[in-house]
Amino acid sequence: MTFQDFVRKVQPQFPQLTVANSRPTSPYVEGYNCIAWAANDTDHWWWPDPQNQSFWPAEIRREVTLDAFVQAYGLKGYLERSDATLEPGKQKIAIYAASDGRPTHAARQLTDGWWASKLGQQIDIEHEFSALDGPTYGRAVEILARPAR
Amino acid sequence: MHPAYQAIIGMGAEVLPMILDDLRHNSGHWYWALKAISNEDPVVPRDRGSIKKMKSAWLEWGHTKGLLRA
Repeated sequence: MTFQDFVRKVQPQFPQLTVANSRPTSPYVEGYNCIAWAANDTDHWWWPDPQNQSFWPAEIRREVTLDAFVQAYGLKGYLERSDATLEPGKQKIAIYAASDGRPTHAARQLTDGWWASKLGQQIDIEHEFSALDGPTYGRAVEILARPAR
Repeated sequence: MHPAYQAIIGMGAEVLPMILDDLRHNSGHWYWALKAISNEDPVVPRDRGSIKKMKSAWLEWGHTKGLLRA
Protein backbone atom coordinates (compact mmCIF):
# COMPACT_ATOMS: atom_id res chain seq x y z
CA MET A 1 0.00 0.00 0.00
CA THR A 2 1.41 3.39 -0.92
CA PHE A 3 1.26 6.26 1.54
CA GLN A 4 -1.30 7.92 -0.72
CA ASP A 5 -3.48 4.80 -0.44
CA PHE A 6 -3.02 4.83 3.33
CA VAL A 7 -4.08 8.47 3.59
CA ARG A 8 -7.13 7.73 1.46
CA LYS A 9 -8.00 4.74 3.66
CA VAL A 10 -7.91 6.76 6.89
CA GLN A 11 -9.77 9.77 5.47
CA PRO A 12 -12.93 9.07 7.49
CA GLN A 13 -10.90 9.07 10.71
CA PHE A 14 -8.55 11.92 9.75
CA PRO A 15 -10.32 14.13 7.20
CA GLN A 16 -7.63 16.82 7.30
CA LEU A 17 -4.75 14.43 6.64
CA THR A 18 -3.24 14.68 3.15
CA VAL A 19 -0.02 13.59 1.47
CA ALA A 20 0.94 17.26 1.46
CA ASN A 21 0.71 17.74 5.23
CA SER A 22 2.11 14.38 6.32
CA ARG A 23 4.78 11.81 5.53
CA PRO A 24 5.33 8.19 6.62
CA THR A 25 8.24 7.38 8.88
CA SER A 26 8.03 3.73 9.93
CA PRO A 27 5.73 0.72 9.61
CA TYR A 28 3.46 -0.48 12.38
CA VAL A 29 5.29 -1.87 15.39
CA GLU A 30 3.15 -3.38 18.12
CA GLY A 31 5.43 -2.66 21.06
CA TYR A 32 4.36 0.91 21.76
CA ASN A 33 1.49 3.33 21.22
CA CYS A 34 1.14 7.03 20.49
CA ILE A 35 1.43 8.09 24.12
CA ALA A 36 4.72 6.21 24.49
CA TRP A 37 5.96 7.37 21.08
CA ALA A 38 5.47 11.00 22.09
CA ALA A 39 7.63 10.31 25.14
CA ASN A 40 10.27 8.60 22.97
CA ASP A 41 9.59 5.25 24.62
CA THR A 42 9.44 2.43 22.06
CA ASP A 43 9.48 -0.36 24.66
CA HIS A 44 6.08 0.12 26.30
CA TRP A 45 2.42 0.67 25.63
CA TRP A 46 1.34 3.64 27.79
CA TRP A 47 -2.25 3.95 28.96
CA PRO A 48 -3.91 4.37 32.38
CA ASP A 49 -6.22 1.40 31.80
CA PRO A 50 -8.12 0.22 34.87
CA GLN A 51 -7.09 -3.36 34.08
CA ASN A 52 -3.48 -2.48 34.98
CA GLN A 53 -2.10 -4.05 31.82
CA SER A 54 -0.45 -1.05 30.14
CA PHE A 55 2.45 0.96 31.46
CA TRP A 56 1.55 4.03 33.48
CA PRO A 57 3.85 5.85 35.89
CA ALA A 58 3.16 4.54 39.37
CA GLU A 59 3.20 8.07 40.81
CA ILE A 60 0.32 9.26 38.60
CA ARG A 61 -3.38 8.54 39.04
CA ARG A 62 -4.47 5.81 36.67
CA GLU A 63 -7.29 7.68 34.96
CA VAL A 64 -7.98 8.95 31.45
CA THR A 65 -7.92 12.65 32.26
CA LEU A 66 -5.93 15.51 30.84
CA ASP A 67 -4.50 16.21 34.26
CA ALA A 68 -3.15 12.65 34.59
CA PHE A 69 -1.53 12.84 31.14
CA VAL A 70 0.01 16.23 31.90
CA GLN A 71 1.46 14.83 35.11
CA ALA A 72 2.77 11.71 33.34
CA TYR A 73 4.66 13.78 30.77
CA GLY A 74 5.78 16.05 33.57
CA LEU A 75 7.81 13.14 34.88
CA LYS A 76 9.68 13.26 31.55
CA GLY A 77 10.49 16.91 32.13
CA TYR A 78 7.61 18.45 30.16
CA LEU A 79 6.61 20.88 32.88
CA GLU A 80 6.02 24.13 30.98
CA ARG A 81 2.67 24.99 29.41
CA SER A 82 3.43 26.13 25.88
CA ASP A 83 2.10 26.49 22.33
CA ALA A 84 2.72 24.87 18.94
CA THR A 85 5.38 27.28 17.74
CA LEU A 86 8.85 25.95 17.05
CA GLU A 87 11.24 27.32 19.67
CA PRO A 88 14.96 26.66 19.54
CA GLY A 89 16.14 24.88 22.66
CA LYS A 90 12.74 23.41 23.51
CA GLN A 91 11.10 20.06 22.92
CA LYS A 92 7.31 19.92 22.90
CA ILE A 93 4.52 17.39 23.24
CA ALA A 94 0.92 17.95 22.22
CA ILE A 95 -1.86 16.12 24.05
CA TYR A 96 -5.05 15.65 22.07
CA ALA A 97 -8.49 15.25 23.58
CA ALA A 98 -11.98 14.49 22.33
CA SER A 99 -14.86 16.89 22.84
CA ASP A 100 -15.58 15.27 26.21
CA GLY A 101 -12.09 16.22 27.37
CA ARG A 102 -10.72 12.68 27.50
CA PRO A 103 -7.19 12.36 26.11
CA THR A 104 -6.99 10.42 22.85
CA HIS A 105 -3.53 10.92 21.42
CA ALA A 106 -0.17 12.62 21.81
CA ALA A 107 2.40 13.88 19.32
CA ARG A 108 6.00 15.04 19.65
CA GLN A 109 7.34 18.12 17.87
CA LEU A 110 10.28 17.60 15.52
CA THR A 111 13.16 19.95 14.89
CA ASP A 112 11.54 21.19 11.64
CA GLY A 113 8.29 22.12 13.38
CA TRP A 114 6.31 19.12 12.18
CA TRP A 115 4.98 16.54 14.66
CA ALA A 116 5.63 12.81 15.07
CA SER A 117 2.64 10.55 15.72
CA LYS A 118 1.83 6.89 15.88
CA LEU A 119 -1.68 6.39 14.53
CA GLY A 120 -3.30 3.82 16.79
CA GLN A 121 -2.39 0.36 15.58
CA GLN A 122 -1.10 1.88 12.37
CA ILE A 123 2.11 3.34 11.03
CA ASP A 124 4.17 6.20 12.42
CA ILE A 125 3.89 9.46 10.54
CA GLU A 126 5.13 13.04 10.69
CA HIS A 127 2.62 15.78 10.05
CA GLU A 128 1.72 19.42 10.28
CA PHE A 129 0.22 20.50 13.58
CA SER A 130 -3.49 20.38 12.68
CA ALA A 131 -3.39 17.46 10.25
CA LEU A 132 -4.88 14.99 12.74
CA ASP A 133 -7.68 17.22 14.01
CA GLY A 134 -11.06 15.60 13.56
CA PRO A 135 -13.47 13.00 14.86
CA THR A 136 -10.89 10.44 15.98
CA TYR A 137 -8.47 12.43 18.11
CA GLY A 138 -10.35 15.69 18.55
CA ARG A 139 -7.67 18.34 18.69
CA ALA A 140 -4.55 19.26 20.61
CA VAL A 141 -5.71 20.77 23.90
CA GLU A 142 -2.44 21.00 25.80
CA ILE A 143 1.12 21.58 24.66
CA LEU A 144 3.95 20.96 27.07
CA ALA A 145 7.58 21.93 26.69
CA ARG A 146 10.91 21.05 28.25
CA PRO A 147 14.47 22.19 27.58
CA ALA A 148 15.96 20.29 24.65
CA ARG A 149 17.97 17.23 25.63
CA MET B 1 -12.97 1.86 24.63
CA HIS B 2 -14.37 0.93 21.23
CA PRO B 3 -17.96 -0.39 21.43
CA ALA B 4 -17.02 -3.56 19.51
CA TYR B 5 -14.23 -4.25 21.99
CA GLN B 6 -16.67 -3.73 24.86
CA ALA B 7 -19.15 -6.07 23.20
CA ILE B 8 -16.51 -8.80 22.97
CA ILE B 9 -15.76 -8.38 26.67
CA GLY B 10 -19.47 -8.68 27.32
CA MET B 11 -19.50 -12.11 25.69
CA GLY B 12 -17.61 -13.46 28.67
CA ALA B 13 -15.38 -16.48 29.19
CA GLU B 14 -16.59 -18.37 26.14
CA VAL B 15 -14.59 -16.05 23.85
CA LEU B 16 -11.31 -16.52 25.73
CA PRO B 17 -10.04 -19.32 23.42
CA MET B 18 -10.71 -17.15 20.35
CA ILE B 19 -9.07 -14.11 21.91
CA LEU B 20 -6.01 -16.10 22.93
CA ASP B 21 -5.78 -17.65 19.49
CA ASP B 22 -5.89 -14.21 17.88
CA LEU B 23 -3.29 -12.95 20.34
CA ARG B 24 -1.01 -15.85 19.41
CA HIS B 25 -1.37 -15.54 15.64
CA ASN B 26 -2.17 -11.88 15.00
CA SER B 27 -0.84 -10.10 18.09
CA GLY B 28 -4.19 -8.45 18.68
CA HIS B 29 -4.23 -5.99 21.58
CA TRP B 30 -6.43 -8.14 23.80
CA TYR B 31 -4.83 -7.56 27.21
CA TRP B 32 -7.53 -5.35 28.66
CA ALA B 33 -10.21 -7.81 27.53
CA LEU B 34 -8.35 -10.81 28.93
CA LYS B 35 -8.04 -9.18 32.33
CA ALA B 36 -11.62 -7.91 32.32
CA ILE B 37 -13.10 -11.28 31.34
CA SER B 38 -10.91 -13.61 33.38
CA ASN B 39 -10.42 -11.37 36.41
CA GLU B 40 -6.93 -12.84 36.53
CA ASP B 41 -3.61 -11.16 35.82
CA PRO B 42 -0.52 -13.15 34.88
CA VAL B 43 1.40 -9.97 34.00
CA VAL B 44 3.80 -9.03 36.79
CA PRO B 45 3.86 -5.28 37.58
CA ARG B 46 7.31 -4.69 36.09
CA ASP B 47 6.11 -6.05 32.72
CA ARG B 48 3.07 -3.81 32.38
CA GLY B 49 3.11 -2.18 28.97
CA SER B 50 5.86 -4.43 27.65
CA ILE B 51 3.91 -6.05 24.84
CA LYS B 52 6.18 -9.05 24.21
CA LYS B 53 6.25 -9.98 27.89
CA MET B 54 2.51 -9.42 28.29
CA LYS B 55 1.80 -11.60 25.29
CA SER B 56 4.05 -14.34 26.59
CA ALA B 57 2.46 -14.19 30.06
CA TRP B 58 -1.09 -14.39 28.72
CA LEU B 59 -0.32 -17.22 26.31
CA GLU B 60 1.34 -19.16 29.12
CA TRP B 61 -1.75 -18.50 31.23
CA GLY B 62 -3.93 -19.76 28.38
CA HIS B 63 -1.95 -22.96 28.12
CA THR B 64 -2.11 -23.49 31.88
CA LYS B 65 -5.87 -23.03 31.83
CA GLY B 66 -6.30 -25.37 28.88
CA LEU B 67 -7.69 -22.58 26.73
CA LEU B 68 -5.06 -22.85 24.01
CA ARG B 69 -4.21 -25.85 21.91
CA ALA B 70 -0.49 -26.58 21.74
